[in-house]
Amino acid sequence: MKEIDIKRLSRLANIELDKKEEKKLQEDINKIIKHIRQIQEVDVKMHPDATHLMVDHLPLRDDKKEKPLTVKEVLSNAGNPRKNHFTINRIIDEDDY
Amino acid sequence: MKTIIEYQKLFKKGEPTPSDLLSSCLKKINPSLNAYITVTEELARKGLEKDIKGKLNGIPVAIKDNINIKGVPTTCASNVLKGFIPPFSATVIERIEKNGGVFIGKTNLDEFGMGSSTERSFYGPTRNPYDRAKVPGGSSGGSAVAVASGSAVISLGSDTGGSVRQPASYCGLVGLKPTYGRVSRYGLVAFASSLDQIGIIGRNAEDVGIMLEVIAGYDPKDSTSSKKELEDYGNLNKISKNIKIGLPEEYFEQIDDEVYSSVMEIKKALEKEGISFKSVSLPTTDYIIPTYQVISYAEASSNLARYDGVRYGLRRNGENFHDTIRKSRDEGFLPEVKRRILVGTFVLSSEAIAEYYERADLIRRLITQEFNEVFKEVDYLMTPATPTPAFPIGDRTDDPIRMHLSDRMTAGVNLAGIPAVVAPAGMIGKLPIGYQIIGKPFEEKGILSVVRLVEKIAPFKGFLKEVHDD
Repeated sequence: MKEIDIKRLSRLANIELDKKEEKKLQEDINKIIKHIRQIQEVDVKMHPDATHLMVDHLPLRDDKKEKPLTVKEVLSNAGNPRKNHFTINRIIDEDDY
Repeated sequence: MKTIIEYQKLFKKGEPTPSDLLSSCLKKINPSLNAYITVTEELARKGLEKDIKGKLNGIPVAIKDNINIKGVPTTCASNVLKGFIPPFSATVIERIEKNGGVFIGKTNLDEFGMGSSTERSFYGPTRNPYDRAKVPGGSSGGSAVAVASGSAVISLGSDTGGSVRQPASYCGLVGLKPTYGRVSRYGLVAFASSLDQIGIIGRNAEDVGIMLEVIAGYDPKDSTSSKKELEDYGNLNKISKNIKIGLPEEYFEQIDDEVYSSVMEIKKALEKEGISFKSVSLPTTDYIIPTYQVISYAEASSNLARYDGVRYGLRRNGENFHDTIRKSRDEGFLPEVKRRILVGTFVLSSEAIAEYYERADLIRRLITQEFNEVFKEVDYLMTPATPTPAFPIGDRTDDPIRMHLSDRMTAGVNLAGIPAVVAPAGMIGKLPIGYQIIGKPFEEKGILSVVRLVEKIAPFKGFLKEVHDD
């Protein structure tokens, strides 16, 4: 089994990890993946018609306008809202102008 | 501590009044058990002032802290949701309010429901009231301890792989995971959306049934909620003695001898009533945990991508946009949640998806099919709830695989979307242990009726004296 690339996974998952955390998580994740590899032993080809319970019911609500949350309510938990907007770091560099 | 129906009768005489009951419950909140993240006395008192007459009139209810109550912090026991106050309530909360129930507090859990012991909480571990050196089970450990220690008459939890049933087993209570779609998930913070279901923890089957009558039913805000008709789940006294209960052999492997004997005692009691039993087989049982891990971790990695520090929750500013997100998430999540997000990201990555996620989805169908097949032969299944009684605090926190061992009996039910209830089978030393009854889809009334019958013919005598002698 190939070792997982923890740096790539942490980038994909958008979680910053320090060196110590990286080492510990790499070990843990390899252990977990070794464990879940057991599922390769199951013959799944024999059961193409097996269905899932949930396909039986997925009712949609009426297509009617409902009272939404107010802008104030939506922004009430935001870190640093300004002028009725969420804010993030600037994403355009000086060079892009 | 009494049942919901007993309290309703006593309230009519005014002994106690709902306010007296609330005060007595508040007194029983023991900080050393750490069952609550937020106590909401003011909200409960205001609820009582409304004097709503309904099925839960004046009953103090504890709510797992991953279910939103408008205006009360929802933490999911995570630092990443620090300071988050939801601007809306979950559908189940609105339904409880309409029936006169009052909310005593938000209970502790493993962060985002990811654990089986309520130790992996940003707010510290919850302790088992039967033995404080032991875990209460999880992830709805706070909700179980609230009921077991008498600070709430009944509580709500959520069950993704056994998170309502396993703590019910460890704390001597009745814990129900309804059919997927029976109860609206609107306002429940998502962990693994195809497995999550809001469940109920109470002292007996009737209380749990009354709560199900209140919270079940179609909700336009949750497209996976079912329009299938409801039943009078609190009315459990009629049960046909012609039923046949299956004992899946694989569920009786890898369990403690005392657990086996306790479940067999329940079987004997039911046999005396004329109920017949049959041995059945569910051959993919050994693959339930790895299949559950792949599917739940994959869904978690996707669901938890929303915690980016922009719209709500913890925000740590970095040099640029991505740096801000990465720093906020690093500081926000505890190690177990990071592990699951990273493994979930791996099993969904282009090079691994076919081998892991897609294969696990097929095995899930196989597991469901096996349940469907055995339900052609028997009406219900009976199994142990957990392989052992509650384990010591700290015993499994460092091992990401051993923590899942207690899910072997419960997670298959979530994968198949079917209902199951856990109830007390007896005591092993000073610790309670449970049995589980599994039913066909939407057979909640049936499985609760079996538990009700057991309560009559083999009543559980292990309830904590200090809670139940008042």
